[in-house]
Amino acid sequence: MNKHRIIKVILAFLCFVVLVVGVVWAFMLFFGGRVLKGITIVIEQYVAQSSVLIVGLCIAVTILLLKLLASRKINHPKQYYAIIIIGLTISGLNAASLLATPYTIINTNQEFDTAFDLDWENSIPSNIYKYFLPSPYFFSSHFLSIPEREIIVEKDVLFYTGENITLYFDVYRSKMDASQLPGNGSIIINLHPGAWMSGGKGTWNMISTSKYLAGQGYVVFDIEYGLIDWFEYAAEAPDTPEYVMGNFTIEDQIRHIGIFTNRCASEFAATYGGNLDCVYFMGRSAGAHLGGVAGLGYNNDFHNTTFSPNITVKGVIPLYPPSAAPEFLLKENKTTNPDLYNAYDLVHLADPQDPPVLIFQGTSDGQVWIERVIALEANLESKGVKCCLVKFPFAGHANDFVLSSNIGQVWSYYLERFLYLTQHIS
Amino acid sequence: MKISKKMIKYLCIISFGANIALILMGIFHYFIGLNIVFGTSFSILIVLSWFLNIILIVYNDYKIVKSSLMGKKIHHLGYGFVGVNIIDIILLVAGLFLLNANWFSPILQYSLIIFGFFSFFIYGSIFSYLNLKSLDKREVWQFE
Repeated sequence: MNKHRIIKVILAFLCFVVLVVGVVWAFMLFFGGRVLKGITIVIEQYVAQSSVLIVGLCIAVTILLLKLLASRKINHPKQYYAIIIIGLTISGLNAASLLATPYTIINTNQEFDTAFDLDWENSIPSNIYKYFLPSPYFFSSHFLSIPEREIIVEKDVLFYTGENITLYFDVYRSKMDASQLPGNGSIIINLHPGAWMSGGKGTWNMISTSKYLAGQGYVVFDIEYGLIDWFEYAAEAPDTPEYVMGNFTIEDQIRHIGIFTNRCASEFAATYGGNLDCVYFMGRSAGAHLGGVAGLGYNNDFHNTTFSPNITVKGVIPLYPPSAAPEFLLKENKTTNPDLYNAYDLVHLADPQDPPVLIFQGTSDGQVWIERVIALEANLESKGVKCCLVKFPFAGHANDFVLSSNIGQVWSYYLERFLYLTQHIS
Repeated sequence: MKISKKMIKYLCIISFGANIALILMGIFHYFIGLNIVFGTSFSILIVLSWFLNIILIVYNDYKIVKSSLMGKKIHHLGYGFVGVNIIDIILLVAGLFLLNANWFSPILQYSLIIFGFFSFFIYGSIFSYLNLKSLDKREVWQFE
């Protein structure tokens, strides 16, 4: 074989490898990690938000294959045309998430219409709209990202030492006067994912979203809480700091968040220009559960000494939330102490005085199943809580990592509107 | 389908114009921010230009005389264009994911995105220009 032919064979082989990856990606889009479990639960997190680029990649390698096998068009036309069909089919399947974007937009608009009345869009002043995304999705922004506004980031600010751990937070805020921006200095307490036993602030708590919200005039506190060292989970989050690990339960984690709210009310809000009359709890996965407990439970008798009484919670933003704590991660189980269990169950904590809730959920999530989140929304609404579920077809767990993806853009579009609308609900 | 010289000529002109327009729009994207008219036209033009570039590569395979020196050059440039496309997509995926990470400097993150986006359309404009320039050379193209 001459040199050219060897290169051609290697290239053709690599093209087939990419198409096989395209098949795996398409499978993960449709079924998530729910079917195969194991490593697919981790892979699922990267699939939907990269699928548009995988479409481009599959089309490109199909074209390359056609160029490489051009001579076969005459001698083996069936093989040649089969490659076209296979390549385009794989690309088409990977486009499912992108093609479902209009469905997400229509569906979320209906959710907002129900929660905030049909006129909600007109209730936002035109001078505020100039700071918002003008459209739920721009294909151009998908590649070039959403332009950032000038912000200030302060990292590793200590807020708690004790129980053999130290807890820090990162704070994101605008360089501009927040009172001139939609956020008006409202505080967002951002809780990281990681199955209550792993993860940390920063990278895995979606820095891009924190930066984007800071640019809108929100003061975003990305905080740590003590993590459970005696529990193991297959899909644990990376970058877990050793200094937060301890012999904890979920009750301790809520207590750590409570400590932060108290220090925030007494000190940090003033330092960073945060508005205590407008506080949001936002969290991802396990952080969404903890944020839900804090946001829906801060007015509950069980938790009434945990959180600062000087904050007013205006909204809860759980992304891919488990609706209740796993029993074994509490000090007592459901049978021996049902009141304790209920105090960490979002539905039991809900009451008509609770603030509105905006939920992010992908339908292909293998860790937090869509059926359970739909039930959570229905149960919260039956308890009198305003609730909007932003449902992303084909998205898996943690699919808000890329802010400029079709998922990230649609989420940001409705998130900024939700935050503004709820600020002005008394 | 019969592909005439005129068709390839128009394809090259539109493709060249669209690639140049996208390079300029890509620069403006970071300066004028997000705007409904600009964002929509930019988005449509990206899809249009990408498909035009792909069509031009495919047409090349049908109509270029690979035995001629210029034809061989354009044919190889077609391979290079697909290669650049693949590399650019990988750079864009990496850049967009890393934008969320605090492990690297924003300069590196944006370099990956900017190089991934602009190199495709710069290569595309050169490729369509060379095609256009060689159209009148009878030894390069094979039209009925």
